[in-house]
Amino acid sequence: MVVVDRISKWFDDVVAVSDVSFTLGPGVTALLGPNGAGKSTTLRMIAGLTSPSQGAIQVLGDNPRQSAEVRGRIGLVSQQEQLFSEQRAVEFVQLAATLNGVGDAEAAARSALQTVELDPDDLRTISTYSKGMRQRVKVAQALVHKPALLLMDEPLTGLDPRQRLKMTALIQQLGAQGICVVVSSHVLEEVERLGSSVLVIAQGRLAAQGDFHAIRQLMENRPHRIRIRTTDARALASALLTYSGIHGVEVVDESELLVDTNDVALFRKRVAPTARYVDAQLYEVQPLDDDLESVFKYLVGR
Amino acid sequence: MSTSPAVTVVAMIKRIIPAIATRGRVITMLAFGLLPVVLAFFINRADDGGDDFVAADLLSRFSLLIYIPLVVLIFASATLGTLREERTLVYFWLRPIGRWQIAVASFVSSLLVLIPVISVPTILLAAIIGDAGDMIGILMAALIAIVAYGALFTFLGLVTQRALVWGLIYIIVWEGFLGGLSRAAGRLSIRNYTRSALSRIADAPSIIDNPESMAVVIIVTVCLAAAGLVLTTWWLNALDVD
Repeated sequence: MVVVDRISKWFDDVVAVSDVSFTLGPGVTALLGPNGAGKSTTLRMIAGLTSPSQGAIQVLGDNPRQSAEVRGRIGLVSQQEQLFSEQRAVEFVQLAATLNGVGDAEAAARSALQTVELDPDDLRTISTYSKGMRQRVKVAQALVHKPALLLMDEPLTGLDPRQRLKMTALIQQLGAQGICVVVSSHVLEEVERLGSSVLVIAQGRLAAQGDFHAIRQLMENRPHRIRIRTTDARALASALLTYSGIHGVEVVDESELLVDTNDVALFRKRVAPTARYVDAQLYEVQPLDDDLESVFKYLVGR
Repeated sequence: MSTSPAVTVVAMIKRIIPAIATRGRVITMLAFGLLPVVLAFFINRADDGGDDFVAADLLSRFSLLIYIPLVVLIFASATLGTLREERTLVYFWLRPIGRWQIAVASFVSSLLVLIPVISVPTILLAAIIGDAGDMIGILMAALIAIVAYGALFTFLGLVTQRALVWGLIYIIVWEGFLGGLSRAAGRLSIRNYTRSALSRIADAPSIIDNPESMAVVIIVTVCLAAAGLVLTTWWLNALDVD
């Protein structure tokens, strides 16, 4: 459905996306990466909202920027907050249906709003809606014409936990119906819940791709640096160095050491018994590079 | 699935008009439009029995040169300008419709708002002058100004976020100053045609020397509107949408 062939996008001197290629078929695909990684730019290029500076994109066999027919088969949940705020939700979604050439626009709008659990008869304007409700209105307008490709830029942002679960279920359901759903997110747990295939984008590059478990494994197996505060750093350092998964230990001072390991699970299992063995007390065991940014940096640098 | 262009254009117009015709904007512009009316009233009283064209000349100098272009600039540049600024243009742009439909909807929206907003003070002004020929001439000149400036400023609103600044510079520098320097330069300014229309219909030769014929006025106005729409469509096609 979507063929992305070596696309790059730069704005003046800033490279937003660099030499990215992938293909997408029916089902849910998550675009995972930190903020500013190039996810939104990639989605915008797939939607045809902006052209790649280099490379080509085909959606349903055609250029999305030039083909009106292709545009009519794309649904976009964009990241920006603004909607036509002085309209009622049903009017806004009905406008989307009309412009997409849906026969009975009003019925389609009511159905789309019910899908996202909003009341089509709500007399309030969108300006009075909460962030989560606006988010659902955006999803409704993207679904109203039953698109073949649904692009969702951070669709779970602003939703409460219950709505997140519902939205996740809806995304899975749409994917199961054969719609190509692309969901961008910077939250690993969100992507995990989607249970989808994953494209990891970091620093504008495609850092990894595969199903979520393969990506997770890749992330787990990367080198970790862990800081330990203890009563006897030297004794603990000597004992830890005997394990094969630990490939470096740096003693900072008498009470602090840094451990480098690429088998964090093994380390977790062994650190406490080892400390007991050398008669050292543990005050703190803290991973120093467990944030998502570090994970993405590692994936890009592989 | 397809909807006729007329239906999609009307649907967009229904959305654009409430966005540009905000209460504050309409009231301010109507109040501003009453200024030449009040001036014409007092000048006409002071000039009782004198030259019939004093009020028409006032309209020419104030309304056609400042008031109407300014009001058209404010409303027409807001049609697509507001959508771009609020980043809601995507809700029109990413639909299976021709970009020309967006251009036409924006242009027609600005006409539908501008015609009543400008007509009310204009009709009052014509009523003060008290001549049917003047009233028709004034309304015709206003309509020509609305169409020509409307197409131009709709495009300007799409192209730049500083449409008001550039539009004002255009109105003051080109229309107000450079266009008056020579006949050749005057032919490239819209006010030449609005004043020609006023001069011809109101039979007021003092308004402009060597006015264009009405046929030329109408042809130039239609060409300007068409050029504005073509440019807007072209720009929409080339645009990066947020």
